[in-house]
Amino acid sequence: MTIEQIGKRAFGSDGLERIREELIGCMRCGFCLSVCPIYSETGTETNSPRGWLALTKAVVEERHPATRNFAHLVTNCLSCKACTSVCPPGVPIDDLILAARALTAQSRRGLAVKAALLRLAMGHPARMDRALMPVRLLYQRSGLQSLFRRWGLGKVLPFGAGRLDQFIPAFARRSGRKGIPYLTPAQGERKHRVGYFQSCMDAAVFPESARATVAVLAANGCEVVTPPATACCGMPSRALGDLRTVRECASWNAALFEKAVVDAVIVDCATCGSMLREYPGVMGTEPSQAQIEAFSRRVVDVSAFLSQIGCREPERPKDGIRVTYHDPCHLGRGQGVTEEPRRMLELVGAELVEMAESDLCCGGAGSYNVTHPELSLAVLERKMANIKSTGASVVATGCPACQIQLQAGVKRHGLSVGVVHPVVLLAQAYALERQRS
Amino acid sequence: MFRGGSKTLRGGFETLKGSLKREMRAIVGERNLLDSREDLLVYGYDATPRVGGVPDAIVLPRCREEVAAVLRLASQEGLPVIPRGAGSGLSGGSVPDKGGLVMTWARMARILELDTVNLTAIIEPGVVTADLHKEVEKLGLYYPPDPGSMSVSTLGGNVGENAGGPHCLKYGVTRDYVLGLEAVLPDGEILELGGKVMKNVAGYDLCRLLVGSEGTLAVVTKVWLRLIPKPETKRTMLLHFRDVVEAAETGRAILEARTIPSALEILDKTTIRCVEQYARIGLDTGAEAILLVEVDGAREGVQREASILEQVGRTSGAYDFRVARDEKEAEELFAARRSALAALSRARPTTILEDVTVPRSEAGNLVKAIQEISKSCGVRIGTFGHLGDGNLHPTLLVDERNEEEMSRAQAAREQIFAAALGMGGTISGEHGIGLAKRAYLGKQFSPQVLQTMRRVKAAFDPNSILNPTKIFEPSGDLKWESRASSGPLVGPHKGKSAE
Repeated sequence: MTIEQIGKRAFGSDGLERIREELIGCMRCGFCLSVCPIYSETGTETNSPRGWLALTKAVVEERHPATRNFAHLVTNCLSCKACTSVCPPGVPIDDLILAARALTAQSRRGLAVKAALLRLAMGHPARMDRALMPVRLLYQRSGLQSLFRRWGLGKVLPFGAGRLDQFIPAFARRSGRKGIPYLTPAQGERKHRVGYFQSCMDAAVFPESARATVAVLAANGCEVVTPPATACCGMPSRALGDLRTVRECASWNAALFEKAVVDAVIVDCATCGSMLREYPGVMGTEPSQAQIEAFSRRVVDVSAFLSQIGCREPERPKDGIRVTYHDPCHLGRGQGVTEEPRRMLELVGAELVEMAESDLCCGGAGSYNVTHPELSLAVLERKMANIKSTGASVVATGCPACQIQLQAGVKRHGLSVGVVHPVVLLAQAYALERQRS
Repeated sequence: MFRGGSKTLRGGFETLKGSLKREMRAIVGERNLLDSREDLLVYGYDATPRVGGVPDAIVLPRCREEVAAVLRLASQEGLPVIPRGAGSGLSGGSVPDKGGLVMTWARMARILELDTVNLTAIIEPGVVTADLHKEVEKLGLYYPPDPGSMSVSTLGGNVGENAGGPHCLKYGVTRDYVLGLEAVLPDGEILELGGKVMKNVAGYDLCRLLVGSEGTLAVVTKVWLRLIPKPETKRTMLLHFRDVVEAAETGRAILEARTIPSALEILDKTTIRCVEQYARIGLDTGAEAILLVEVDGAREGVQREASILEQVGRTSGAYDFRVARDEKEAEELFAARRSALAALSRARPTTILEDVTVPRSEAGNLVKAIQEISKSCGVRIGTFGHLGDGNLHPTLLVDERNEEEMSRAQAAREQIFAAALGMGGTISGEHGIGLAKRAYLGKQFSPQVLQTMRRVKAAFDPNSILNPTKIFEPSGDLKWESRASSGPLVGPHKGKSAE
């Protein structure tokens, strides 16, 4: 297959040309190196945004073959978007690195198998839950987990596989999807009708976040539609370079929420939110492009939406907890939402202590902590040092993937620090209020 | 080519002799010698447009002994060694255009000591410039050189290029802050030059000679830097002009009022339009030039200087001027200057950033001359930079894929160099000669000067293995024949050299 054919398969007819045009924009100034967590850990150009772009450029100009090493190197990126945010000529670096993965996915069998498996699972949420079930059974209940922990099995496994254990979260016993009705009525007067896009991670690991989001929306006069049949947002496939599945997810989700007839689509997972909002830019032609664009425009993070409609202030508890806030990459840089979650924390009477580098990636990055445990841990250590020096008893963050990573960090350091989604704190404050009255 | 990926990798891609690589790995450790095809591709460039190459390998030594051992080995083999900081240079100084061994300081990046009595810092060359700024400012101290790339550039690279920046007008350039160096000669001998002493006239000042030598004489392994107290406060003023000459006159008036601002920056019409289009910060796009003036120091002094500035501003030809009331407003005004590079680089695919410098009194004339050259050559040029020290950044906005446009850009560059030299200036104020300007060094210096410089080079590096293709036009063929640059990696690679 020629590069042109590969490009056409991965991005549609004019995709490769667009990538070439964007790559020309890189002037190799190196400003991206100053903010890249992976370059900071490795110190090598081969593991830097500028390096990844240079390699991608060489591949699309056919000066260099898409070697296995190239395919491996472009997976070292966290997709944290820090590089893109400082790039003087405004090159969409993170997007181009994802495009590079799509190029390699066309010619690498290993990646294609992973993507196909994922594709099977994510077409339908029930399938996603079922796909996670064997992991749950195998790991938590079969005793493999205790085997890992008690016998120190982790230490003898090759390739750092033993380190995976600490990143595998405690799965919920019951999928979160089952607890939320299709229609949740507004409390009091109905002012808005919104859709809720429930993330896979919330369903599997943090069902309390999903319940809190719906409860808080209802408490603020929203009628909430939660379609049970949402497809995955598509980010896991995009990270593996499978853009076809992303486009299919986009069509499905857009159609689903169009039928629900809602003013806004609320998301409480930073990554889902940024993916849904970026649908129109995912390359390739799609018959329902207009529908997808209309859908993407309506997607909004729960904290941003509440601040738009004027969130009701709960009765403040007497002594507020000391909270620090971690900016998820896909909420801060991805959606420009940084102030709203902080305002939500102030609303519940928390004492907000800013950590240094609050917008530095935590190293979670979806499944990065499982695929690249060593690098992920190194990035996490910097984050944990920043968290520790705030003396906060709670870390709030608007992303379940960050939550999993930070929980692992808290455990590693033996800290008694809670990790929550800010919306959970708000839901708790409302609940407390009801109890009192 | 695309399909055969892994096969070629498995088949092996040998550039350096296996035995040589084994010896080097024994010195620096397995992980600190890089030689995969991908590594070779990403250590072949810096921030200079149309300059590139492919190294034979990359070495990341961890201490001066490793630097010395690698250099000794390279000397024996006649292998060129190209020192590299962060690869953010703008003259191609760290580019392995003819192959060789790229040596970077990524594993030598510690701040070794901050001395608050002698006001000195001792650092390894891989420390990032902005990181040193942050650390010394925590102690109420200040390291003034602030090149535009300081968030990524290394101090070792700054020493190699004698880097400047906006604040050098008042405080001086990198060379004025280097008190001592530890450096390794190409044959592996270690030189210790200077140290914490503030005065030192013993023998030739080799330390200051090495600063700005672009990695052609020795490899720096440790640096002693001078620090000063951090200025207490600052004031900033922004002025709009209908005429470039009026802006330059105002710059002169400020200096004639016996005030040395900490920054005196100019943006020309093209730059103003690009900045406003990109950042929307309320600049008047009808202006021909904008001046940004900053004074800093102790509170009382700054107040006095600020009132002089206001007076000059009022009596100048500026049709609009604003003085920042506080630091936050000052930051807002400076945003115009800070976003200049981003704004210009978004205008066209390729950005060629020059750094000609003339005596202060001529700076206005140079801006005018550049505008005329822009017109006559038909190349869009945005000029901004350090009006106060006569160091301007004419930025050519072109598309490197258009050969005809590139040849016009080349003509414009040559005319800009000639204009600067005609005003008693220099072809490079702070970026260095490297590859990008070596063809023009002869226009600035007599053959006797060049000959003397070459003799200095030969005294330090008789076998010419340290960055051998930089500063001077090669006089003969390079002894080293790189297998990498003749290998399959260099395909239809556009524009191998800036000349």
